[in-house]
Formats: sequence, structure tokens, C-alpha cells
Amino acid sequence: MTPTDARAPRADGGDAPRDPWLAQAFRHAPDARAAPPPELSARILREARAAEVPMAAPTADTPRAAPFAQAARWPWLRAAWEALARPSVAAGFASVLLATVVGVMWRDRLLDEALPRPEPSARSGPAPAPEARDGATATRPEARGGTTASPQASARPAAPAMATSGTPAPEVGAATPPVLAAPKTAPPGAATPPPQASPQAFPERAREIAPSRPRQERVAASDRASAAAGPVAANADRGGESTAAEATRDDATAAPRDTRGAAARDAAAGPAAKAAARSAPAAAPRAQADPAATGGGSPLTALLARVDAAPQHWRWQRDAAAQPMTPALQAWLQRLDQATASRWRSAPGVPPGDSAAPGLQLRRDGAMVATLRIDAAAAWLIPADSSQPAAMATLTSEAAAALSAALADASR
Amino acid sequence: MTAYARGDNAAFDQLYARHQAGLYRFVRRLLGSALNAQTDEVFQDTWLRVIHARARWAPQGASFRTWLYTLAHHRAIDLLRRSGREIAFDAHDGADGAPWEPDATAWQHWPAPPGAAPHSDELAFWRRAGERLIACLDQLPAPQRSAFLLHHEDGLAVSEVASALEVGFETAKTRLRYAMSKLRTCMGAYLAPLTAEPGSGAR
Repeated sequence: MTPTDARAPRADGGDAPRDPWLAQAFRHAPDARAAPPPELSARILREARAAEVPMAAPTADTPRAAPFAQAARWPWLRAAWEALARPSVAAGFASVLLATVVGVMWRDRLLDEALPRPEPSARSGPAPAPEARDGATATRPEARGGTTASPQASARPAAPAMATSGTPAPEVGAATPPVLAAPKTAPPGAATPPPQASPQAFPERAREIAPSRPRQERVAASDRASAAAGPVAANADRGGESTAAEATRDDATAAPRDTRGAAARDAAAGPAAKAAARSAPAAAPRAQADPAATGGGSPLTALLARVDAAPQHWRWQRDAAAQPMTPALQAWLQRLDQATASRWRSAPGVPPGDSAAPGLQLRRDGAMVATLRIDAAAAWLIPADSSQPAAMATLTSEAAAALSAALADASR
Repeated sequence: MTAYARGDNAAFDQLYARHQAGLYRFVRRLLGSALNAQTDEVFQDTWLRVIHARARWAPQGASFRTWLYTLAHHRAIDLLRRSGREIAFDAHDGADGAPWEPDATAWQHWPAPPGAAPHSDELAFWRRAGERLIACLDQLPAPQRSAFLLHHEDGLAVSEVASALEVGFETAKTRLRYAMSKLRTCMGAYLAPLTAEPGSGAR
């Protein structure tokens, strides 16, 4: 056999030929008999014997999936885990989880823009006249919480009362909403002033709710009234942002539109308010329609109950900057309530402004709620919500003078 | 290996006895003379990988030998890369991309491959040839070296070589061709041929 013959390609099952000279050289290479050291072999064999017998059936798993070897019985679990382990899926899942957490944290909370702003300084002059309720000269919180959202909020629940009263609505509350808030809250037909309950309905309502009700009951009724989005309550509780939604929450005749918000508010209202709301579900529309029928027999009683419940939220203002609610002023409000008793009536119009006798403005959390005014023969309660009629209680001239003097003392 | 994966430790002893010598030589020659000291480490790591992979062992077409050499090749390449001695996988000497063809005339003076009992002179010749072959192997790029070793020394078919090196069949074949050409030239140029004798090929 010649070298040429030996180097000729040999068919090896279709494989490439092997060079016999190189193979021979390999066989005589210095390391041809190289072998692993005995101690190395012994160590490897020892390791092999010491290795634990696997628990699961042998599979082609990657080392990363080894901890889930026992989960081979649940291939869907392993598939889900491997799918989650992919970066894109994991990132998406984490984003959804984070969004859920943030959403739960902010659930039923107002945005910062919707929270009432700090009390604006009113050092520049006397308190705004009642005519300022129309929003033209009102401060921004008032405009937002007082005169913008309430018209349509009260218009819907007030419809039944209007149907029964048949009395044409006065032009008092027909103020034009501020331009800023009008597109946000006012539907096309909301420009029409809401109907107003008949003044004849007030005595009947006043007889239903005695003025001497216990204080706790008055507070519960007040909460109920505020939950029913009465002109005063809606403005004070939520800064007017969601007045329309709250106006119909406890209205038994209206379809629930914001059940989540209602549930949260019910939880915060306390059991007394809930019980009151359950006992008189039909009172809310009537209370909205007739401000004199709210709360404990008169609008002032309801207002006073709310002030007493949380005086720290309230401020008053006459001819200077707003002041925190004081016991003296609370006492004066009680005195006025006692003096007026059940004589409150819906007023046909807003009394003309009197710079000599500025009204007492009551604010809750910076939002204008109502203005109280004492003139020579009557006390006036003018809600900040222009859609609600003012209320009036006649006074004797002596009583009016005494109340004016007492107010001057209390607000000093 | 399947028996070992099922818990039969004696099966591993058989596996080790069957493949340990060939694998050790493969690792040693693939690492080259410069990294001979690392042979034991690579050899041990390879077998430890086999041991640790027993739970995941699943025959998927390739033989255990192919898989074993794949593990060893990976480990050796890692070491070569760390040492900076590895040459790019696709490196070829031909600048124009054409295969390098050796001068085969030197082989005409070599003795024929010996039989079972070579003559003493021939034995000395082949021992020098073996030494020279090891030196020439060191000059080969690692991809060609591993392909040549697997094919010539360990007896793997080209398809198995491709599988072990995780390359295509044609790539493995090309590497083999380059390795053979370079080795023939290297061996023929430096191995002093014996005087030719009639009837015994070249001497």
C-alpha cells in the first residue's frame, strides 16, 4: 500500500476521509497515553455517587426551571411562570399592578384642583353684598362651589315638589353661572332657574319637624340634608366639585349614578345619618325644594346644627377678613334661631344690600355657604347657591335691634 | 447515561471508563501546550456538568458522546477566551477567501502507515511525527483544531462534529478541510522523511 493509496478518500459511511498518516502520528504522539490522574478520576466518581437522585422524572428543563421540577405535574403552572418571567410580560404586569395600587389609593378622593382653595383675603373692603351671589363679584371658591354646580343639581330632585306646588319660581335664584364653571356643569337646559317650593308648604313642613328636636337628631338631619345636596350642604361638603353627583345620592326616587361615592359618603356620615336617611327617604327632594324645611325645622336650625357639629371647619366674615368660628358667634346663632323659631318663610326676593348693616357670611372650608342679615323687621338667610331661594323670618323691631347689637358684640 | 439518570451509579462508572481517556486527550490537545496545566480542571468540570445534569438528561437525538464532547468543548473555549489565545472562529488564512491548498509533495517521501508492529526505525519516525503533529496542532485555530480532533482522534462523523461544535454541517466540513491542509503542510515541511526503500514505501 502506497502513501498515495492510503491518502485516497475513503468512504466512511458518507463521512469525510481520515488521513492514515495523521492517525498514525496521533497514535505515536507523546500524549497518546495521557489519562486523567487517578485521584482526579476518584474524585469525579465520588462526586457522581454522592449526587442526589432527582425527585422528578428527567426532563430537558433549563437550570432556571429546576426548582419547578415537581411542578411538572402542572404544566400550565410552569408555562404561566415562564411567561411571567419574560421581561415584557413582567413589565406589563408590574405596570398594571402599580396602576391598581395607585387607583386604590386615590379612590374616591378629589383631585387637588377640586379641593377648596385657601380663604382669600378680604381686607380690601366690606363684605360682598348679597347680590354678589350671582357670581359676578364672588370670589373663586364661591363661584366654584356655590353658584356653578348647584342649579342642575337641585333641579332634578326638585321636580316632584314643583309639580305639587304649582307656584311659579321667582327670579331670585336665576343668576347666571360663572363663565368658568358653566361648560363643566351646566347642561344646555340648565339655564332655566329651578322651581321653588310654594311658601304655603313651609308651615306644614315646619309642623312635621318640631324645632325642639334633640341636638343629635338635628345633626343627623343636617347630615342627611347635606347628603341630599341641599344648597348649603353640597357646597360645604365637597367644595362643589361633585355637587351634581351628590345631589342625587340619597334621593330614593333617582337612579343611583355614583354608587361608589355614595358608599364612601355613607360610611363617613355615621350611623345616625344613615338611619335618618333610611327613615325619611322622600324628605330629600322636599328639603331641596324648600330650604325652610331642611334640618330641624328651619334653614337656620339646620345650618346651626352643621356649625355645631364641626365648628373648626367654619369661618365667618362681616366687614373684614374671615374669622374662625367662635363660641360667641355660635351662641348668637342659637339666639337668632330661638328668636326666629318657626317663622322662617321663603322670601320672594333677595333684600337690597345695606352697607351700613353688612351681612354675616358663613363659610365652610373656605366655601361660601350662606349669608345672614338682620334688618329692621326681619332676619334673612341667603344661601350662597343662587338656585336656592332666600328665607326670611319676621322680627319685632326690638328683637331685631337686640340681635344686631348682639351680633356686633359677638363679631367684635 | 439514561441508567445513571435513573439513579444507577454503576452506569456512571461505565460511562467514565469508556470516555475518560479520549475526553482527556481531546481536552489536552484542544487546550494546547500552553494551557496543558488546565487540562485537569476542564476535564473535571466537564464530568461534573454531566453529573449535575443527570436530573435534566433527556436524549434528544445526539449521542452521549457528542454531548460530552460538546460540554468539554464549551469549557475549553471558555478557558481559551479568558486566556486570550482563542482565534476567531471564522478566521482563515486565505486572504481572498479561497481554501488554502498545501504542498503535498512532502508526503510522497513518508513511510506508509505501519501495521500492527512497526519496525523500530519506523517507530522512531512516527514518534517524531507524533511530536510534530502535536506542535502543528498548536498552530491551528481552535475551531479547526477542535473539528480535526473530534473527527480524526475521537472518531466522530462530520455530522456529529457539527453537532458537537454547534455549527452547520458544511461549516464543520470546511473547518476539517482547512485543518487537514495546514497539518499536512506543517508535517511535510518539517518532518524529515526517511530514505525510501523498495517494498516499504518511503524511508
